[in-house]
Amino acid sequence: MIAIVIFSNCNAFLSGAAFSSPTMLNAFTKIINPDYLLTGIEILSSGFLIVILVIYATLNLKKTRFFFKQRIQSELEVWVAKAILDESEDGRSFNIPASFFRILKRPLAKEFTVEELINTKKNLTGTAANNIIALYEELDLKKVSLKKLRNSKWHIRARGIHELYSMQQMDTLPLIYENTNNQYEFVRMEAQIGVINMTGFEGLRFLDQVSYPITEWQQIKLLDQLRSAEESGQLATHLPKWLSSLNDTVIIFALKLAAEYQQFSVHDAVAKCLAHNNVSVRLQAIKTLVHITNETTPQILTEHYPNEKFTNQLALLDALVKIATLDQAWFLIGLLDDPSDIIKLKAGRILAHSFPRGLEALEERGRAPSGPYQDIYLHIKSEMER
Amino acid sequence: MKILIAEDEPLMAKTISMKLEKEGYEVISCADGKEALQKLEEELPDMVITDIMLPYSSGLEILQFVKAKNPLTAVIVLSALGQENTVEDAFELGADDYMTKPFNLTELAVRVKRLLKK
Repeated sequence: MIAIVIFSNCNAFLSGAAFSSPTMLNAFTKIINPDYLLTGIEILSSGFLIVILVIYATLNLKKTRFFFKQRIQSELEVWVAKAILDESEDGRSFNIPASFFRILKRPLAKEFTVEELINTKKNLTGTAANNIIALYEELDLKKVSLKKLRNSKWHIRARGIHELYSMQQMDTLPLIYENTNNQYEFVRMEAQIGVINMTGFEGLRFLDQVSYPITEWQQIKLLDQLRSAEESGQLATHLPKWLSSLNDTVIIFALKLAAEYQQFSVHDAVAKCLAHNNVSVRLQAIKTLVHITNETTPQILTEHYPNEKFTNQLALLDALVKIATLDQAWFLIGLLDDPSDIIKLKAGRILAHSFPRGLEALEERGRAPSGPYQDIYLHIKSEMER
Repeated sequence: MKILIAEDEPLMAKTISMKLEKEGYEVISCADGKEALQKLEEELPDMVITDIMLPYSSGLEILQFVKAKNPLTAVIVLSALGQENTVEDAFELGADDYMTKPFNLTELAVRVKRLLKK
């Protein structure tokens, strides 16, 4: 059946029925002309051959690079490991073989050596790590990293910054600092991490001038980087300036710093952020105030409650669980009549946890014939019994 | 005394090997989990030092394998920062010690010596 269909279609095609116009029929006749057909086959074959050659060249190049890398690796491994293990005070007297300097003339070798040294450096501390830095300097690999730093491609520039700060090249700090407000996100990220890695809290001065947003992920990484640095007490001096930054993400990050390092002295500046236009700034301010609370904090929070968005109201009630005083009792009792059951539950939870007769008050409310109060009371009671 | 090192970063593996060889141990180095398991199948050393994150088979699988074969073989687990939960798992599986990267090579050598003395 299929054969019949194909046969009839072929007949139609050859008789010209498949062509909608005489021009197309003409073109088809030309194509099947033996002269044209031969040229066509030649062109196709040449194209095919070029593709094969390109694939072969690429594979060959990859293979060459792989074996070259293997060669460098075998050359590098033994004496670099020896150099790393050098325990003498004068770690710069490495006996680098002349053959390796010759190999190192090739960019790929330099690239690979830097990569290996950095990967190993991040895993080691003490003398071994210092020896890696000394070796990087003795092999003049800093030039490679500096060249990358000046590259116009953002990913190469970011890599250069990473190498320089990993190898603690302090003299390049101004160059790295310049990139903390670079237009490319990854360059900025590396530079910001770099200045903190090299100078600790001092590096946070980039917050004075950064105009691009600092992403949530970057903030986590910066805080993580700061954990290995020692806070010298300078933070309190700079925080008020960052808390009034025109860049909202700088304010959020400063709020996180205030919370993490319990900067009680900036309490009032943080409280002012509760009136900020940006809802995320206000949310972080609520979270920060719990960490630097004083006797005025619960009252300040309750005053801002009516003007807040629902999600921030929930965060505010979560904050009050830890810091509410008797002064907030009536405010919380009032919230038990809120249309939202979540608000009722959260207010009930604060009452039960923070006030001596809070649970009893809830039980009493639970006797009301309508509303979810009985469920709320039982839920909180079971929470407290856990 | 024979020590097997399972570490996928070649220079790092070489550095640890040379440090331990300097201390007088015989060291076998493996670049991935599969190779390590093969070597362990053939012969069980006195100690295994393994990175948690390895290609093909993880450090935890190596640890499990070693402890199943001989619970007395000491195992030191090398972990990266932020792998605290995995370290907890490692101890549950019987790891004798762990070190978080970045670490000090001298400290590693001291821990190896202490464990092998036991």
